Amino acid sequence: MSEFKQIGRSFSRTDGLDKVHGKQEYVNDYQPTGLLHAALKISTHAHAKIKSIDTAEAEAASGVQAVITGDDFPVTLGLYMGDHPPLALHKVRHYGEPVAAVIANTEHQAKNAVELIKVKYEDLEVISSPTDGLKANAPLLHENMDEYTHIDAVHPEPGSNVANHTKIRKGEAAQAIADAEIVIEDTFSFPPCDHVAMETRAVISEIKANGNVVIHSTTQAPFTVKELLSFNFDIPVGKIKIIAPPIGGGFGGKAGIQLEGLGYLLTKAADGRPVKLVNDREEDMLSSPGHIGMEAKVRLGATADGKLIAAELDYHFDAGAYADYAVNVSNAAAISCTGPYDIPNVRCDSLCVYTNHPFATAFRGFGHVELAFPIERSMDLLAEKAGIDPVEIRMKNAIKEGDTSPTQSLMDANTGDLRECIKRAAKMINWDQGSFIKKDENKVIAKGFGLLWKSPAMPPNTGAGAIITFNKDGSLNLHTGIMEIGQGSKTGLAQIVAERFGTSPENIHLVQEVNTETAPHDWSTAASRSLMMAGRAALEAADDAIDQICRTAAIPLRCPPEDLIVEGGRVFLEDEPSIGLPLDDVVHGYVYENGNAIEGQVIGRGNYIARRLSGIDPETGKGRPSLEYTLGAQAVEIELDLNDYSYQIKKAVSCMDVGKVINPNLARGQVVGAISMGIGLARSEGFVFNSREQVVNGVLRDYKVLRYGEEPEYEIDFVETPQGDGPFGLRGLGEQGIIGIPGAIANALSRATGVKLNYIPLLPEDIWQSVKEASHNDSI
Amino acid sequence: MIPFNFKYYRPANIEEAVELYQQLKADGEKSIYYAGGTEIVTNARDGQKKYDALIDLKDINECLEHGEKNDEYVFGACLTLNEIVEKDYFPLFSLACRPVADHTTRNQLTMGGNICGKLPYREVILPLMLVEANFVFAGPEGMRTVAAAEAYDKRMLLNEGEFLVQVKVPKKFAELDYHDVRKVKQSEVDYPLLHLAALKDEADQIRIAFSSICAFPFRLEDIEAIFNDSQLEMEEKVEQIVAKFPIPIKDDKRGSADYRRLLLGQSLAEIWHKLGGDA
Amino acid sequence: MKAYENISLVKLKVNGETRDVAIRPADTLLRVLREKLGLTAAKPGCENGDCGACTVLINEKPVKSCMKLAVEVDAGAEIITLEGIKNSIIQETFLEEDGFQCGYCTPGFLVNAYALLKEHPDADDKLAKEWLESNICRCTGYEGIRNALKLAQEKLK
Repeated sequence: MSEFKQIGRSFSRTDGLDKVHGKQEYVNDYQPTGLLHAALKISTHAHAKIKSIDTAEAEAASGVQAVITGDDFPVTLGLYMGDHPPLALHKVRHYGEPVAAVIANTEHQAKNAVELIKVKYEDLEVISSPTDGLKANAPLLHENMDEYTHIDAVHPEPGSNVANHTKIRKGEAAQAIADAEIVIEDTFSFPPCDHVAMETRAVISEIKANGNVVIHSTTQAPFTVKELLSFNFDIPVGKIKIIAPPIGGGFGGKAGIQLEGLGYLLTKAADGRPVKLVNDREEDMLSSPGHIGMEAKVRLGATADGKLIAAELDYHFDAGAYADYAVNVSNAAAISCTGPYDIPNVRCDSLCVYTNHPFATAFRGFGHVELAFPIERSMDLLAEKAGIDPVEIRMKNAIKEGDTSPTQSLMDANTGDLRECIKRAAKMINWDQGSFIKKDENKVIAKGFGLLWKSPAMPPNTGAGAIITFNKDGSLNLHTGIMEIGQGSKTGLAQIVAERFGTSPENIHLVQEVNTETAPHDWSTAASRSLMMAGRAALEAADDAIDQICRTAAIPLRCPPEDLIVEGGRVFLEDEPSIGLPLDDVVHGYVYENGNAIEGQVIGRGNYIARRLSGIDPETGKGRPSLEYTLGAQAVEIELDLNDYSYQIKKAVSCMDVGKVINPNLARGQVVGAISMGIGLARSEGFVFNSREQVVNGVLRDYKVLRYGEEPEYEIDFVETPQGDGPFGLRGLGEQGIIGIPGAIANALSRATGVKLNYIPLLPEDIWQSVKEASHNDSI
Repeated sequence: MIPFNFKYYRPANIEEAVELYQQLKADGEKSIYYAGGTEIVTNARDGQKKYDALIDLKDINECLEHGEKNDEYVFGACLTLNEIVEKDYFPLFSLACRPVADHTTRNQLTMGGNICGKLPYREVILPLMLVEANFVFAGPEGMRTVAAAEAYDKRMLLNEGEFLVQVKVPKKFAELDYHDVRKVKQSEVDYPLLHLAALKDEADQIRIAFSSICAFPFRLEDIEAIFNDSQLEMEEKVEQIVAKFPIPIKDDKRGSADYRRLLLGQSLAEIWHKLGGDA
Repeated sequence: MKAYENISLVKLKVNGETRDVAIRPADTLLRVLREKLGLTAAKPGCENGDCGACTVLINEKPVKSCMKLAVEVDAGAEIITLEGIKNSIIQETFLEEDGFQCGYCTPGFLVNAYALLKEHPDADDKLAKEWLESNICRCTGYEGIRNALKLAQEKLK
């Protein structure tokens, strides 16, 4: 029998009924009175000087209110680094970059007028990869990098294409590699791709008569948007209101600031009237940011029996044209650079490199799914060289309490049990029955393993807040700044508060929409931190409300408040439960028979701020940047056709230590969804560029995501080693399921083919090419 | 969202449709015959193709005919692919229709649209090339019935102002052995890397039509002669067949010519195996 | 012959009601439902026929409303959007089995699955795949959707 009544229960989603009846409203569903519509002219060139933009014909077109270009608002915005004009200024740096916008009475008038805008370009040399961008004679994408404002934690290198350089120096990596009995070294890569959230980004912006700016946005980070708009456009922050209804998928792509800056300029150009801008799918993939690309070089050193002693890691990220979140993705990848392995000597140089690709932002896994790919492939290569089973070598090196992270911070008593996760994942995938099975002449079955770890990459002073108010019937309203992005955090928060109040989650009314004017401040619904941080705040708010309830009730009940408890909609004496009051008699003040009233309404207040976090040393990376680490193990089973190299992913398993499962069904849903996204990365998702760095598959017809029936059988398990400072011991789990999967799939396919497959996506044709090249090399 | 405007007409019969086209042409309007709309509407959205008028053929009875007449099956040009699959008069035809786009889209996508559209795959035509189908065209000169070989060469050989009304397939072909191979880059919901339809005729000769391996679908007697030559090993056959292709194997973002060549060899071997060659 | 040469008044039979609405011949059914009739359940996920978020029923068949012109369904066809399907078994099981997360693809998925269950209550895995691969879901990895379909099939027995 569980000690909890609401925690650990698969309570149905609080937003469910609206969603299955088509009543959930998203930003693009709103049509305020007087709405104008905007459309974008986007660049057909990846890197070019803008010679001229002729907007005359567009301005004269039917229904057009205004046409704006970069010259009208020569500003640069940015999340961490102010390098990004909302409309291209003097030059374009990626295919799909917005160069002009039309505001018109209707959307089709706006789109018609866009076609009348004539832009003359003069091509510039393109940077097609980080390697390209790091060449000594590479063209500079941002000549004025030294003039950009940026936060202290980012270390740009003006005069180059390096937007950020994070260094990790732990022990003596080079010496340890030289001393190692076994060394493996290899390179790994993947191209940029996209989140493909089903809802494309949209914004409706308006400036009121008093100068207040009101923006409806598809955002994961309404407060970040508010603060950056204030900073960049010099608007008092209190005059900005961001309204954020639930969003149709985020996956990191709606964190940071996206269309809102442009949205503000659009309404400004239209005399403050409300203007709607909705990305079409192609703009959402190309003009707005996506997933970062990477080139990695890994060198691992180990003892003869496979114990890791050193890692030298060069992570070169393909940030695309602008820094956005990419500079922090590369930073997060450095902080966690080794994956969940105990390695005493580590050197990592993580570079965030500008290229002429669509730019990158946060993406589920934030730096960790990226680093896990080269690391997990390398662990298999090491296992092979050492002649040790891939699961055994992971078991041997798995990080544990008392070890130190790459930033030399201690893995404390809250460290999860990774070995147990490995054991369970191996059992679920039947590892002991063989990882390579020849099914028949043309088919092989192979398995692959991948470990994961993840910590939130967030400012050390990140906080969350919660407010609890009451209705006259004694039910609660829970206000937080957490966004509903599909993950179900609000349902989890309701369960947490319900547990404390001894009531059912049905009695917790959730404010689904976030309005920055009324919601408590929250950094961002990102980094899998919502339930942990807002959960702590909600618990504190619940305790605060309970204190107030007991204080009020104690007066008419004539008892010490500390003798009272709250449960089942009543406040009563713990040792004499019949003596008490229903909550509705207390939460708006107690009223005596003669009308006298005391105490007034209860408002529960709670907050949480990350404890004892620090930035990292710019030279050594030493510091404590990680709130908590979620650890886990994953594995897949694939079946490969040796004729055409087509394959199916038959089974995917995952076991991670999440501290405490609040809602088993929703937790499973997060892991399964993340796995499917990892499969997408490994199987098909990646932008394809032509020689001019134009994206040739920037449309859903050509950019292939997983479809119904292509998914594997999923088997999911959780270990619960409590996180001491997490509410009810929980830690984050929303992103983590993606992390080990690309490596696991590449490991399985490498095993199946007998050929090193160090890249994703793994398309059958590419596998065939690799096999062909390998046999060619062998014969030489 | 289609940004530009066009007129939309829904003629009730063939004559109205043909006359309308001529009238619009005389007025200097660019019009196009319209059936399912999946290709026309999506192309209009991204501004690639613009028209002044659409002439929707879906009210024309002959274009919706779906049945048996004497010794033929009749397929109206405006039948959706799902309607063809569900009635399943001619299993090889159903097989060729079934993987096009996706199931929901096939409630809209028509046979005529697939065959006469601008997209180069035209998978639905493959079986029709194998079975001596007759194509019925309507146009300013009236109706004409054309054998497959004359109706199609790299594209439908429609004259200006003509449209496809229906296709007639001799029933006897529905009884023959057949095989269909479709290969994709990765996801099944995709245009193919190659799509082959094959049928073993009454003389035990295997007929094959090819889509997507080159820029347009084709069927060639020379190729079939090589394929049916029992003196040749499969690899030799493939070699000689590729040499007979009307244009080089396609090399594009979905797949290289080399990979398509590999898949072609395997697919031809599969057809030989399934249809038992001359055995 | 029906002709629509400019902004035209059409009669759309949606969810059992007949609605008069003035449209451009180039307006897609999706945009008319959402912007003129306020029926926003069907979503624009790609407006290119690739994702299925805009799926509605036309004469009981699932159709992607982003590729259908509204003039095509003037005065005749029965259009059903998710708003017109209330408390069906499949909606119930989507809730029970977590057949959605963000909810954006859900209207299209539900309409398609509803039509599948009506036409083929005993659909096997292969047939279910053939129908439901028309829709993209980015959140669930399809497990919840598959389970919801299976549970609905059991409940319908």
